[in-house]
Amino acid sequence: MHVLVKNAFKVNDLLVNIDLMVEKGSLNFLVGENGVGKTSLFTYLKIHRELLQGSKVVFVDQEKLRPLADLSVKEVLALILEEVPGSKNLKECPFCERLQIKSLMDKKVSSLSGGENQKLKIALALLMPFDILFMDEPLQSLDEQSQKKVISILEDLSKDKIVLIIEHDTAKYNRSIGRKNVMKRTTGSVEVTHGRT
Amino acid sequence: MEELDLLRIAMAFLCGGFLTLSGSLTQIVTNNSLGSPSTLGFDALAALSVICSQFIIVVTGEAFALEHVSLGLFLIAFLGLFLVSKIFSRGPHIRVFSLDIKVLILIGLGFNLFVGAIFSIVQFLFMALNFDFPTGLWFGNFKYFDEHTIYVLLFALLILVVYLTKDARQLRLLSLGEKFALGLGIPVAKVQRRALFVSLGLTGVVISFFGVFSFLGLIVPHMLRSLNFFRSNMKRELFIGPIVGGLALAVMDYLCFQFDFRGAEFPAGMVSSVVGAFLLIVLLVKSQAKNFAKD
Repeated sequence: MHVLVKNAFKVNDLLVNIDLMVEKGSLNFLVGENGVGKTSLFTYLKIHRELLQGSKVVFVDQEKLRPLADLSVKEVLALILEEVPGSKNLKECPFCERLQIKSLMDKKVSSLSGGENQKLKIALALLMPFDILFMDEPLQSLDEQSQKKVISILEDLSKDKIVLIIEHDTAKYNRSIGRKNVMKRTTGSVEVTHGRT
Repeated sequence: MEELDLLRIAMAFLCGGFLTLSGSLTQIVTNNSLGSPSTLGFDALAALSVICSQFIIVVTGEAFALEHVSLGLFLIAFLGLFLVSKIFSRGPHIRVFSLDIKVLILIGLGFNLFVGAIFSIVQFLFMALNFDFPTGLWFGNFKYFDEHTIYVLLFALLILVVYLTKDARQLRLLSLGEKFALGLGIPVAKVQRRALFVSLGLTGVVISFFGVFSFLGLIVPHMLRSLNFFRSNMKRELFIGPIVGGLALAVMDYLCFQFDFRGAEFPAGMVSSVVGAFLLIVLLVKSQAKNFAKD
């Protein structure tokens, strides 16, 4: 078991009490009602990485990838390889093969569908070095077959790495026996507590 | 044909380079290829410094050089904004993970209108009272210059080289989108702030000494990115793009110098406005046609 974040702090007059736990070997989740602040917490941890206790975390959020220049998928992959220390190229990433990114190589990122864009973001994350992969609703925009592929990739990945997923519907994750951190909001405070799936 | 002073060519080149880079930086920060220093009110702030300087010179009756007073006032405003940004960047903010670009653009546009109004009022008063007014402000030119200005420009160039060497990698990753860059551990707010202040500084230096050269910061980066060589690697746009922009402005100024109209030299800023506006329309029409074809 690994304590990812255990901290209490105030943000805009709101007391935030986090006790977020994750473990290797299974998928971990952060769940909570709509509007409770899961994505806001995700964003907050992106900015305040000092709360992550030195862990190398790569975040994959919900927003579409929108490069300023009209880059192709191939050019984005080359950019990551050149600029992110320790990143792999596509050939060295077996999980990326399963996402079928090669078929998108010459397509412009701006012309990708929502699902293709999501697969590209996941592939980019998998190319980078990390201890923990934190994803905000990774199955969004994906068709059923792609969702099954991504779930399978994440389950295999979780054997060696820690995976934490913000998700509403955890039932889709077949063999996901891991930490289910619950986020709740009361008047004046937000709490994240850990439990089991 | 008359020979153009080499110093003038060098200054035009450096200013063109500064404005091009200024445009690239604002477009990266706003993640919008139609972003420019003028959209964010940078041109207006520098122009306001020039107007206020002229006012100070007229009221005090002192024989100060307009560009020196203008640069001084601009630097005071620059430092003030820098301190304000430092104060506002403190403390944890769940929503403000980066600068709120939409708010900045609205402030910039509003500020542009404000300065436009001030310009009109001051111009009217100065003309009514028979005072000199810097009418050349809105159309920059290199016709009148102090040779010592080159030292200021070279100093700015040195700061620029140090800045780009430090931040080019992060800017390249930021060009993929601020949320994506944040997910990679890039300190997005800091990188954006530095980029904006560098852009503001470069714009201010050029306008204080030579006036406004519209559209250069908007059009040149946009056109560079239409070429595969620059598009595939943002670092080329940051390092080589300013050289292209510098050459463009130097050539424009050279042509203005050579082809006058009844002895009156066209300001290079006027040419950049006309050419830039035309190219912007062409780019927008092309982009709309591309989107229409996709649908």
